[in-house]
Amino acid sequence: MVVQYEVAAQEPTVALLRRVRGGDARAREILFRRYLPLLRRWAHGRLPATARGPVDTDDLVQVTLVRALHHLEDFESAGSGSFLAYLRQILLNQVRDEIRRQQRRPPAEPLDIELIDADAPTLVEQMVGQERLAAYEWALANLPKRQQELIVMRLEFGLSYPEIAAETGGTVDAVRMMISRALVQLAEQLSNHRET
Amino acid sequence: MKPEDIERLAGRIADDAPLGAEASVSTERSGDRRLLGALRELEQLAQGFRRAQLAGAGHHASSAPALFRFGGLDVLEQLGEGAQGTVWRAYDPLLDQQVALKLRRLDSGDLAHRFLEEGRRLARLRHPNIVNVYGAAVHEGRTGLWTELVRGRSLSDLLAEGGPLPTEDVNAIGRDLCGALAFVHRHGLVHGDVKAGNVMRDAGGRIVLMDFGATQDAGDCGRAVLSGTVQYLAPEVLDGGAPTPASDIYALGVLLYHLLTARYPNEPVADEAPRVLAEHPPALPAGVPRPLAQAIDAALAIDPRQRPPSMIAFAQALNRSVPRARPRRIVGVSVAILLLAAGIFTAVWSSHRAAPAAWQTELALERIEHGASAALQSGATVHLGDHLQLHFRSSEPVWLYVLDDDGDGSAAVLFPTGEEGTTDPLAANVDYTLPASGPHALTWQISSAASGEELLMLASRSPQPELERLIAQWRHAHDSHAGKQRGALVLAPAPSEEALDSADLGEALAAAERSAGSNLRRWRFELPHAD
Repeated sequence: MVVQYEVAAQEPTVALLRRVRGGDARAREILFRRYLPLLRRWAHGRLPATARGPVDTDDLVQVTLVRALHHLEDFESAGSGSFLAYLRQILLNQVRDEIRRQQRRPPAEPLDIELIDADAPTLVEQMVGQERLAAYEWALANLPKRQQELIVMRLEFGLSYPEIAAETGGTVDAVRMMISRALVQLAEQLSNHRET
Repeated sequence: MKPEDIERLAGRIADDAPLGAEASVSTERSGDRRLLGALRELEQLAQGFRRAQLAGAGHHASSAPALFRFGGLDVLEQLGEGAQGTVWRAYDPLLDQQVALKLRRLDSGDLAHRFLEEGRRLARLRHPNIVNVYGAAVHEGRTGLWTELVRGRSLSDLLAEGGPLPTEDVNAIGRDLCGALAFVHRHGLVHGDVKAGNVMRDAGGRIVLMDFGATQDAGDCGRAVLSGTVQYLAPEVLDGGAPTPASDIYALGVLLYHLLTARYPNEPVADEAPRVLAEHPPALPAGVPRPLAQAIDAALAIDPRQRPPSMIAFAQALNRSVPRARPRRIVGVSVAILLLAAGIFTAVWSSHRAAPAAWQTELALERIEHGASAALQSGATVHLGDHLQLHFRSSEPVWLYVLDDDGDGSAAVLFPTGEEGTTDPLAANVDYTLPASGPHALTWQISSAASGEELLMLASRSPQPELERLIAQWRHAHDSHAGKQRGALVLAPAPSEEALDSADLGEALAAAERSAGSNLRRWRFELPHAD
């Protein structure tokens, strides 16, 4: 299997974030354009079909991104890792809140009951399988943060190696090797999960 | 296995490349087996994420300007054009997904009619290795059929770019397509145009059978239209016969041969009309493993009766060339089953070949996943919690017995279960879905974390009293959660522990074989557990 590397022409995220901190509107725009489609697609896969109208998902993602860029100090105090993985964590919490909110919704409007089924499987659950996804989440949580980030970027966001290199600041070859090693660790955790 | 080998396999997952046969090699160390199982699990996971990304990619496509609308679809981009029409990328706002839309002009008369027929036929087929159809419509003088948008390369593209494929890839593709085509055949259809250009490998590694435009009902002999691609046409079809499941088997043989060599077994001479081959095709190169070469060779037999009797049989032949870890067995009974079944499978195979018009049986094992079913071949990996069903049909009334041995000492009788409507004998020419179909459908669920399952199916044209007496002593499958688990029939031990006597069972099976002879057929599925 030949792996084709694309030319990495992206400005590293860490440099863009530095510029955003300095009030650079252009850097902010680049980050927006880089992350918005990725996060939209990701959120689209993680919300139940009935809760992921284009408008809802866009709102959720945009608000997340705007807030995160306004409070970059939170990201930095969380220990500088991948900004994308950081955004994913915030979004994951928001998605879970959203699902809980829908489950709590009182059955006052009969029409809504038919339309909203928060227990309906999400796109990712349909494609991956609910049990398999739960095992993955468990195994992932047991890995070091750095490895979690690499796996999330490659598997969940489908970023190419050059894109991940731009995100983490490594070389393409080093990124590929680190992801392979992280996946071995993930496999170890998955087999532990199966035994528990 | 060495750590670098494990890391290399993990690298293949990271690269979106299939793990291939290397991940199913036999290994002595249980730690390695565990880790390989987890890597295969991870491969599935990565493919699932990939599919979710691809499906989700359509989400914001609606913001791109539509070229025109067809039915409820926003048509975005032309993907291809052929003699029979055009193919477009479109966005379906209802499904919130990008789709592939095939358009034909209505003035193409019979062609347009057949095109809608293709939609109806495809709508009956839901299988992971068959393209999903979403809709068909007539709109403003055109007929349209839209399916999932498979993003990937066709096998002919892969071949043109990289030359012949590795044998393990060809074998895996062959087994996937056998499963898909077995499913097509079970629905009474014949694909009719199996070729490299009609099979895609998507970005997640899934093999997808496309283009059912040449598909016909299996019994539709009156319409022997010469369709399909000449290199793939079976001799009897070139000779004017109607396509049959056997001609699909031939075409799949041609495809696998082509993938291994980039040549066709029956290259037509330039300017010469399609001809019926009188000779067997040239042998495959020496580097091709013998079992794989033999399986392909058998599929390419000139006489359809000499080919594997079904896609399932073809898949089993391909399976023989896959190295794999064998499930651990503890009780003697499974060894008895194994030895008998191995011998008798050969006998069944030969009797199928000698008298194809006599007693006909079809049997296919399937795993139910996310509402869809996928054919399982012997050697396929199963997981704790998997749901299984069996499809069975016989041209004559039969007594069917399905036995399971999980290799860790717990054996069970899966059929007959005693459920209403699922008792022996089974009627002739009825498609059975076992353990039970209809509104109260049941499945068998793998409930023990043993090393593997070994399923043995026996079909007999006469009852087997000695076998029935022994079976009555076995543990029976119980519906332990009636009404709770949406029809899941969990294999649970019977209240009283009955000792299994392997000698008795072996004797009963041998006696049945002696007395029933050609009245008895057996199938064996060895299904290792994932870890």
